[in-house]
Amino acid sequence: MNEFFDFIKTMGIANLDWRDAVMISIGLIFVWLAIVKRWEPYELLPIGMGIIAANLPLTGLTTPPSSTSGFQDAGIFGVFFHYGLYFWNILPPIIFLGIGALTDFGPVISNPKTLLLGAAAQIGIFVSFWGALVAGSLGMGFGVKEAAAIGIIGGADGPTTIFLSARLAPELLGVTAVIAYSYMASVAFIQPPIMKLLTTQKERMIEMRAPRSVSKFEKLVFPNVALMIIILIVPKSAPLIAMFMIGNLFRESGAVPRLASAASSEVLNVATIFLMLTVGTQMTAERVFDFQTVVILGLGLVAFCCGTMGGLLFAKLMNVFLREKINPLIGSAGVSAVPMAARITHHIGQESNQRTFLLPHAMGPNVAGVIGSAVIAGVFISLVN
Amino acid sequence: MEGAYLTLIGFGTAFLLLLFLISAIFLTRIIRDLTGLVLKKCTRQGEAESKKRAIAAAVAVSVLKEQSLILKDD
Repeated sequence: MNEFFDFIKTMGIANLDWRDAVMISIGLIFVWLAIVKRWEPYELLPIGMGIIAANLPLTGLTTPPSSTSGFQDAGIFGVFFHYGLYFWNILPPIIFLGIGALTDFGPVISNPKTLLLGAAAQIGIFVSFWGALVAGSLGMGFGVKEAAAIGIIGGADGPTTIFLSARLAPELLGVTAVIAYSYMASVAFIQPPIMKLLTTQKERMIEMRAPRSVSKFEKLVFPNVALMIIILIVPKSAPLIAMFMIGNLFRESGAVPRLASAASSEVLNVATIFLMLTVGTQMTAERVFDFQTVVILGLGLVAFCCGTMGGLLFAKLMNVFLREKINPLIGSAGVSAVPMAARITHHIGQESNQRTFLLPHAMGPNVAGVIGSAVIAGVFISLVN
Repeated sequence: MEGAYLTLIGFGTAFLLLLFLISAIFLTRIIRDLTGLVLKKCTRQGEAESKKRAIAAAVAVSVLKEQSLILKDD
């Protein structure tokens, strides 16, 4: 009989804490949102499944490999986390290779001043960075490293958030990544009220001239020049920027269609599976049921809102000096969240004036936002490390 | 203090780099236009050359045709 009770004790159900049950429910909600609501399904579905798997008790799935605990005791997700993010941090750059192969720099090249909007929208990073520093001074346990990892959520770029968090504050990785992806999935709700609040109907109705056609020569030169300029100034951003530009050159060269296709589909998909599962498995009950997480959730939202506001207000400021006015709505696409933020911009523009077609114009700041947040991540790594 | 430095350097670098990229885009456009002009000039020279050759060929053909007609008449 004792053996039977011992066996009962080794069952997962006997060790299930209420907090684990709540986390499993959150995982199920993510899965539901991905399948039924189609909210960022490529991210939320594996993250949700990762949360469920990691919070089932006694599995050891997330045990990292170490010389003290014995490498054979490591769990599969612990191995993914250790080698994919913590030790080598290779998954975010691989994702950037795929994003590069999917990115068209045409809108940026045809209207380069929109790059500035991508820079302005990065203000959200620094607002939440300072918010985290203030919270840290009030005893929340955030130092400069943690503040940088929290601030980068405002870049609205999942792989950059993961890359920086894994380098500076790996203990916050799961929380910052999930918050970043959750807010990115919610840009359709977060951005429109701010966009309408900060712009007049007349401004939203501004029509922009169709972007000029960009030559192949320009599209080939840009990734090479950008790669060299950015890495010469911020070498620590190289893992992300180099992979991004290499992927883009695969696409634009037209010489390696199989590599471009592999980078933008197979490689990107495989990396997404491992990255998102790993991020989900970092959302364990003991990490999430913490007041710190609530504070990070709030700071992340502030960062998103401030980034949107920064882009919009800078676009309005540019209009003071520009002869040919730009529609300030495209400023809100400066928070990366590619391509959702650009789509929202287009949609809000169309609501005000059916003749405005903002999608190609919004892609400029959108892509600039990706570059801007990767650069700021590089600066943080250079100075904080 | 470290936070202030990080903010200034981080935000400043992002703006500066994107300004550099804007300059690079304009520079590329200038280079493209210049090389386009050179190519156009080369094409124009080539066109004139081929026009001359075509005229020469036409003249040659007509002379040959005329000669062959004269020979037939004889």
